[in-house]
Amino acid sequence: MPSALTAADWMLAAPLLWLTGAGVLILLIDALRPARLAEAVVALLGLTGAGWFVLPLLRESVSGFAAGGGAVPMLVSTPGLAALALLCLGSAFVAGALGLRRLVEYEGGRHGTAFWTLLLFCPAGMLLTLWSNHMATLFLGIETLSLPLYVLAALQRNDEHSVEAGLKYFLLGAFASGFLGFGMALVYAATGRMDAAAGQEAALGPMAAVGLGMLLIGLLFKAAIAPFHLWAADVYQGAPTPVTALMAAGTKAAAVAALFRWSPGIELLPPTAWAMLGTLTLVVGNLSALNQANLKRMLALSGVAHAGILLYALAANAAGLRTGGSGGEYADGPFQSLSFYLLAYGFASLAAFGALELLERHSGGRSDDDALRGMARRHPLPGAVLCVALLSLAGFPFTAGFLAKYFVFVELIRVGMTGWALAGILLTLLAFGYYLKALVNLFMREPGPQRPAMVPADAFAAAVLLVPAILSVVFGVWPAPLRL
Amino acid sequence: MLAEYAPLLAWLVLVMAFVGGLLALTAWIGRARPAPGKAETYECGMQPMGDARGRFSVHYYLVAVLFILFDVEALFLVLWALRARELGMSGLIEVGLFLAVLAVGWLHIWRRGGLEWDR
Amino acid sequence: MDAPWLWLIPLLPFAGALLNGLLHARVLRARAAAGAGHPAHGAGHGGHGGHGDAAPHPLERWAGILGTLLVAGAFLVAVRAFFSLRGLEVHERVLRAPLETWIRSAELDVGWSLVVDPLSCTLVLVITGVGALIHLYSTGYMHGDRGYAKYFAYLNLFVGMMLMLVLSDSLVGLFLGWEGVGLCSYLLIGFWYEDGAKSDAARKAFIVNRIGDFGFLIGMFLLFWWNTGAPSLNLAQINQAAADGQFAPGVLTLACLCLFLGCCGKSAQIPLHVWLPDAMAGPTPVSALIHAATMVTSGIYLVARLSPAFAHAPGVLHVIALVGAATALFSASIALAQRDIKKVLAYSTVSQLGYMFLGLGVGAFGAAVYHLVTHAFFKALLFLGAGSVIHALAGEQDMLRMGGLRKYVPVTYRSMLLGACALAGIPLFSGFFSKDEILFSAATGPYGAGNWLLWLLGSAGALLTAVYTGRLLGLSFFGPERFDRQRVHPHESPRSMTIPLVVLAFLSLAGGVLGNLFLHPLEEWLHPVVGGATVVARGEHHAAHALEVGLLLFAAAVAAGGTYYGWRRFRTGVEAHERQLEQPGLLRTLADAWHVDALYDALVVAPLKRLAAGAAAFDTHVIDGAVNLAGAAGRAAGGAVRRIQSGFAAHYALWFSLGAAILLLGLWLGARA
Repeated sequence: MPSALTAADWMLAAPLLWLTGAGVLILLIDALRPARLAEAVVALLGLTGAGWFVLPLLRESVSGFAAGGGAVPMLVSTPGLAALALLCLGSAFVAGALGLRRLVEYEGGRHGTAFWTLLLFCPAGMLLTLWSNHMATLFLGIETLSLPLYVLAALQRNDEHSVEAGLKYFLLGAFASGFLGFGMALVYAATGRMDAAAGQEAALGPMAAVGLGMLLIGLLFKAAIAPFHLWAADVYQGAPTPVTALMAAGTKAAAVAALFRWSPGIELLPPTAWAMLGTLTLVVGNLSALNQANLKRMLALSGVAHAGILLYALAANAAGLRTGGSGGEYADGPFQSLSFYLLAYGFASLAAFGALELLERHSGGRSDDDALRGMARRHPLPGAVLCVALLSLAGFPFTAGFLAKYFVFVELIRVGMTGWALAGILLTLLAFGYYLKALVNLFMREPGPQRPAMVPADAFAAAVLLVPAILSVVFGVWPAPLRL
Repeated sequence: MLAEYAPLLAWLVLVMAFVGGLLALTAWIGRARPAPGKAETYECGMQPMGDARGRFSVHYYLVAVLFILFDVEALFLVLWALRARELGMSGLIEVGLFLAVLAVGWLHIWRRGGLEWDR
Repeated sequence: MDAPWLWLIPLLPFAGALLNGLLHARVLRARAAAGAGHPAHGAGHGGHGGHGDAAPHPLERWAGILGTLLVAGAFLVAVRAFFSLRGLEVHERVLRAPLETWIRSAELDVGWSLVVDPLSCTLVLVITGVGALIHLYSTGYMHGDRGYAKYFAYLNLFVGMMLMLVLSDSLVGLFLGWEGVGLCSYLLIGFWYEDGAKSDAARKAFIVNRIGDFGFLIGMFLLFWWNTGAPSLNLAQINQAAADGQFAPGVLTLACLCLFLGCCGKSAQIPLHVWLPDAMAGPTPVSALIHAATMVTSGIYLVARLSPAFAHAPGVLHVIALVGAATALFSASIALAQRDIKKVLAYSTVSQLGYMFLGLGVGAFGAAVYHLVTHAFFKALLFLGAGSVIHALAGEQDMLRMGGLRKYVPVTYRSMLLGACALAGIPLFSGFFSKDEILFSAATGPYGAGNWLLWLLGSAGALLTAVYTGRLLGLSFFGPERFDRQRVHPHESPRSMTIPLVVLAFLSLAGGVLGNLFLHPLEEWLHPVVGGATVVARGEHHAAHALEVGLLLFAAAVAAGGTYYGWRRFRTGVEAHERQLEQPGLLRTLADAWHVDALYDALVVAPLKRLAAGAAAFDTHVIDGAVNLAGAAGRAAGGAVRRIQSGFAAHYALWFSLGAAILLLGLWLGARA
């Protein structure tokens, strides 16, 4: 007999239901009485409402949907995860605000319904992924967040880059999903368990180990960790910029947080393995970003580098488990540093891609260095936002990005991995090279000839964009509220 | 242990015998009148050879995807139907919601002209 | 008592700064659109704001109104705070507006909290009250300036920062305000930045202040690091820790000396006094508000606020007293020989700040704050009056080119006369009582024979003060008219400028009489904050009444005589005086401010420049070389990595599979082992 839902179940289900309900409502509106503005309003209200339902989860940990009345809950939320959930919803909101003019009015508004609906389904998948404590919810979450993104990436059907991005993302994503699903099957076959703690059993046979490895590969792909990151540059660059913002901030947060929660016990993957993977990603990401002549592509590759730093938090976590740190004073440290990093990176990415979107409207949709030359001087507001975002991404003091890196490296040093921390810090210095280069190009060169704006002035998008930029600074001097 | 799989083996043998027999029967009683059209792989006018990058209507995919969608829906309904009584009213409501969501999707496709072949 | 509404006090001016800043951006855009692209501000604009060269934007009017009203609003809130405090028991007179923690790291815990006690309440009333009057004055003075809205944005920001400085409950918050007012001072001194001399003056102020700030920071770190009890940066807790002896004596002395170095920078005491006279490059209302009434007194506030800590570091009070007395005499002597009316007032301010430090140094904290308040009234008045005179003469600041102005600018003349009397210390005016209080405290101070040295220095300074005050009056308002009457037509300033003058003139007068009749209570009022420290520093003293009266009469005679002499001597015979100023001699040395700037140039600036040149060479050749090498190496490696990124999905899948194979193989082998 199906048991009635508990209060905890409802707390977790409410934002998901709200999102999907709003999505279905938009489809209905389009079928019965098409009204572009109404769809936009429903979508933005849906995201806001879902955020409203996430708020109570910031205060307490909640676990719900215990499978078959058993002891293992299928969804678990902690305050830190809830904060990341808000980030996912917020990034969808920012993407919506940016897309409002560009995708809905531009190209005759043909894609409005698809855009809004998928913009609601995608964060629902992100929330599921974040909270997943069971393979069923994890798989459901990953697929629910991926499928809309494939379509959203290819939304601009007249732009071959956009179509290419969607197709590549879909092909490789399907490939990774195969790994994810098959890994789950192997773990289940070997251990008979489907919960997140399955990998933490002491003695795992080869089959379970390989299964967990495949499951992780599925997540490593989504988080764009080297060598599973190659899609990121092409997809981020080809996708419409609002969608890129959503991918950078939201998908990254959901995938990395899931990676943290599903990372297997230390027997299987020692701290050094995580640190090595992180360093590899950092090196590859930074070196590839260094030579880019396209800001959007550079940001995509720098996002890969950031994922590398995030793996250091996983390394610190694994090392903490090894020294028996569970329940100790700093047991929450690695996750705190991880979630702060994801939030800081999320704000900065939203601001960066958002500002880029506004600038692209004046550069004929191009994001290469030549087209963006001196643009920040001509358009001071997006320029200032972009400046703050790039400084935060680079880790400039007084921005959230600086503290984020600081917190991660502190965790790493605390568990005695000082050498890795030193290597990481030196590698992040490389990042200043390309971020500052971009700023020089944006601010210190003479702008090229003025082009007609593709879209009329967009005060709403600009206003929404200010929020992540301001947060990047505020939490750079006042991090306490985000140490969840 | 292995005895449990005996019916499966029997079924396998039966299927092979049936297919083999059918092929043998047609070869024996049928008359062969070869023609170029009959030698083609698909006897429906579609060219099996040619440029791999040839275009064909994207509607094939749309229809195929829609087919799979509603096919899976039917699969889900069968599972529900098997336990309909035990799942009771709440089960009925849940499956009703499921169908309603699908119906909205279907309505949307219909109104947007996704089901019209020549558009 | 909790009073969250205290946040309104700093937030109102901050809101003004934000709104005016936006308004200025709007005005700039409108001007750019209109194509009114005057490349620079009029170079002949001089140090006054009267005649702008751009038609004012219709919105700009609101900048002045908004700025003035918001500061006045903050004043009203401060008045409410005053009455709330009055309603409390004497020893419970503290209002708090607590807020979230700002920084928490191990033992360091810094919050955003505001505290109003009698001391900060007094300061807040002065800042917002005098501030509002000066804002009002500025609406007239700056009328038509191209940066009108920007000016009010800066000025509001200054008031907000100054309030943060005074209201904060921790050294960190205080430091934030301290730096904030320094920034605003820099921005406003260099307000007419197209003039190279003015922007140089702004930089000089900033750099000299940095030297002091360095001391402030070190002092702050010492107080935190060498606190053997529970380390804290909370002001009340530092005072408590000092009283409880949680610091080793040497540490407390060193820390307080470092803090005093900060005070020397901000409050322009020897040897860091050199920036303040140059700071007169800013608009005159700025000189009145920032460089006379409020910002420069933050050093006095800091010492008074930490008076219990300073009282337990006795060596430091000696130093403060001596520096204060020396500065008082030294700058008074320089003021004697200045031609620029604002420079006279600037050196006078340095000198008066010296008196305040003298008061602090002899443990008379209440008297020092009393002088701070009266000085804020009369010096703001004198600056605004000087601004009005300059305005009347279309930018003339040289007193030798004035003369006989009293019939042209009667309101300015009369109010400045009252202000000058207060400065000179004529009996019954506010300055007389507060300065006498300090000199009396010095004479009866805790230093034995040293008391009389301090008193002597102070009294000599008082004599010189009276003389240069008389000289200022005589040169500018009396005697023959020496300005070019063809070119200049002196006229009284508009109402918006004269009203603040009259109000401040009333306060300069009333601050004394009322002060002695009713406000002697000021010391009683401040007693809960600084009383304990006064007792520690001075001991319970009972001076002879006869001595008090004797000193009082002597001071009155000095002031009256000095002023009369100054007025008499400089009313006429100005040509002879001008010759004296130009030929080598004592007066010339005084006019050149004892050549301190030249001395600093030779001793500090020139060696530093040589060092900087060496460092620059090292940077260009060694450091940049290393960086460029690293950059080139990184780029080369990036080229190799980029080749993997071929663009073919199949290649991506190949790398994917390769990575997966290695990872899975490792896991498989690991699990088998």
